[in-house]
Amino acid sequence: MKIKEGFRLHTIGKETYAVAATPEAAALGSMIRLNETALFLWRLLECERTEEELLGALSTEYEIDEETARRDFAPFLLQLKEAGLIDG
Amino acid sequence: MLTVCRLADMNIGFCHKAPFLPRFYRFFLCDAPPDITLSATDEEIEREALCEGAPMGEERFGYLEAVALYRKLCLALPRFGGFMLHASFFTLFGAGVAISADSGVGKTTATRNIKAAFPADFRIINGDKPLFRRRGDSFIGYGTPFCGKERFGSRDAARLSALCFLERGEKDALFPLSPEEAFPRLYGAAMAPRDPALLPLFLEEANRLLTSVRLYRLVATPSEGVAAALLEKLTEDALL
Repeated sequence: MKIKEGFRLHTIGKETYAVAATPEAAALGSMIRLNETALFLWRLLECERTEEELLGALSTEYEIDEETARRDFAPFLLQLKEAGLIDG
Repeated sequence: MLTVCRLADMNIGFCHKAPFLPRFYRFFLCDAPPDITLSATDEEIEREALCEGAPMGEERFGYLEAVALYRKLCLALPRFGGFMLHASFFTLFGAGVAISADSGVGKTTATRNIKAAFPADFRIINGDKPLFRRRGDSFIGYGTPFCGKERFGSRDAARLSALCFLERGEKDALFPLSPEEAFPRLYGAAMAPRDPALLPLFLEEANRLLTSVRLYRLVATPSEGVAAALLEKLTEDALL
């Protein structure tokens, strides 16, 4: 899976947003606020990743087991899928 | 036809078909060679008709062509350190104040009430779609003919000191906003290019503007009380 093309990450102060840089991306959402974990995942998903790769990266980054990682990141991933923001 | 206008400290060349544009821009015409030249395709003009929800018609064509060209200017402006913000922009006791809000929130009413409260110390720059451009460390807001149905407009320009995001409320008051809090509001009110080459330039200027002026959430009733609240806060923050 991979995040759809056409977004640009933008940081102001402590906040980071994914901002639509193309009309196609804007149709999915003109601006999405990303918290720390969401930003970490978004950056990973800028390249093609498997779910296992994402879980592994989350486990390492946040020093948690894969089951906890799955539970914590599943809602965000679902949100991205439902919004049509993920290919694959 | 080519018409050159002086807008946001630039000479803008508009290539157009209808005779409407020079009349519409009559207070902004200039004889100098253009810094940039813009033209709109028939498809882009038709798109404006769809946006406005009105049939094209021969007499509407000139206006819609002017709208399409203004949109092109707004979208090109990040290349020149600026952007268009949907706002009312005026000076109050010499300080440049912008009130930004979605259509229907009460931007015009608030502007009218502030003008009524301080008629001698209020000067309108643009009531609807001013252009803002970075000049040195400051942002200057410029008048354009696109100034809303009420025609609150002028050819003037002023340095932006305070940017307020308007909300309706029960009591008139201003609350400070951080640049982080203001960014989504600004993004929603500005004309941001959906172009991977231009968007980074827009975002850079947005950050610069948000860190160079005072930012507020303006909660307003539809009364002249908004003027007193604004004056009190701007005085307290040493902007006046």
